[in-house]
Amino acid sequence: MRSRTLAVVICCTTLFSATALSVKGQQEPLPPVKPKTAGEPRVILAPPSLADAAAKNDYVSFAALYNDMKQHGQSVDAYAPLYDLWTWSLSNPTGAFYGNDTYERLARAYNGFAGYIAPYAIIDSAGNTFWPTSETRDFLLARAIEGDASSVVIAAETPSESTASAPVQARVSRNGIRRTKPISAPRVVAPAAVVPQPKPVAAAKTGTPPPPPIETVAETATVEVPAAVPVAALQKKPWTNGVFMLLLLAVLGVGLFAILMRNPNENTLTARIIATEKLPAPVEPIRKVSGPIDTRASGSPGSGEPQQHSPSAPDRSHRDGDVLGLRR
Amino acid sequence: MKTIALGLVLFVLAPAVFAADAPAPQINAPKNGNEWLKLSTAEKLYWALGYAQGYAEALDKLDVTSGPTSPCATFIEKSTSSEGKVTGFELVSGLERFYAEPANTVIPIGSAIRIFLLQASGKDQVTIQELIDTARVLGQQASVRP
Repeated sequence: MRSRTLAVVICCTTLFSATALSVKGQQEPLPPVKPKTAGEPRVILAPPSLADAAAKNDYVSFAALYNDMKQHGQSVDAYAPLYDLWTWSLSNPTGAFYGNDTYERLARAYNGFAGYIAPYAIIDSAGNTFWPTSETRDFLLARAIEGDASSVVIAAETPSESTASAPVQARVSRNGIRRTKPISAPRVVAPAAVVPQPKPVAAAKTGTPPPPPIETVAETATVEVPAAVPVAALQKKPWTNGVFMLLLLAVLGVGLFAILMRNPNENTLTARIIATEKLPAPVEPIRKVSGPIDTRASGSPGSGEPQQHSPSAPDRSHRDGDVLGLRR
Repeated sequence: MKTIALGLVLFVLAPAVFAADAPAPQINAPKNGNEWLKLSTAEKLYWALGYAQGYAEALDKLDVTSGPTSPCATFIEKSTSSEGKVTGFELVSGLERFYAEPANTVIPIGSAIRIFLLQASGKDQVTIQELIDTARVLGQQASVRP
């Protein structure tokens, strides 16, 4: 009994001290949380231009910008030959090269084109001359930046809407039969903010005022904290305190130690008391036995009747007898 | 005797001295789209011709050494029905189309050719897109790696 009392006292002491510590920790307030203000810096992405997209070899952005500007009535005449040639090159199996017809159209449309493209000409085994589309695009881009718009139709076959949606085609040879099979275009991840911006040269040429710049605000990863959130709600929970957990473990350990250190004879005596309660025989006063108990020589009245059960506690005597070895 | 020894030493060292003046020519094959786009069209075409010829040579060697029912024979049959039918002009045009998307420029050129050939053979777009996504990740990792 003394050890049990001691354990209870220790538990109460440690619990009280742990509670006091946690309360003391909460008395120091955290720094106040300031709500997000409107004056935070924002990243403004400049919309790409047609020249930028073409220089970066980004056809999808270029085509999207071109079509968008055209739908809004902005002048894209300077970039029309480049758009036509680029779109045609992506819709043709050998679109990296073009033949004599396109070459003659370009040579008629632009002075100096023949001299520019002549070193890049490629002559095949049959003597046919081809010209590269890539270098021609560079030439057309430079002319478009200068604002030199050509009214000549570059591509002999302007792709229709159906082929524009699936511009990539390839000849598939199977069993000697050559056929043309449309292949879906490679999916291109366009920039999140594709905002048309007119070319200054083109705008000055047409005399139309440029549209107001559109600010594209990138999404920031900041989380807005409302100002009404109380500070106490944001404080650390007391049960997450390491000191508290340590004390709790200490209390549990002390309690477990006290249970383990109890005198095992007390269990035996308690069982005997329980078993004796049901018998009418006079009960001897309980005395703590210092030495081991000899169960075989026990004169307990209940030890010889393990099968007798009382309605109020039908199995307790039987269970205790088994546990304590009294039935033997 | 000393004069002869000195002459021999100068004779041996002279080529090394003169060779140090002129840097050794160095041209590397393009590894990915970024390097591919730096080439001129003529360079792309000749590279594609060499690539196709090397591929055909390798297939011929496999054909000689493998049996008719071996996995190599199946691979040869599939390869010759796709790679073997693409001309240099078509290969250059296909790579130009493939690398017209900036996100694809990190993809190694060998993977780009295989994807292009699968596209040309009519492979479904879902599979093609999965291959492209995987190739982008691998290409990105390869570009970060020194």
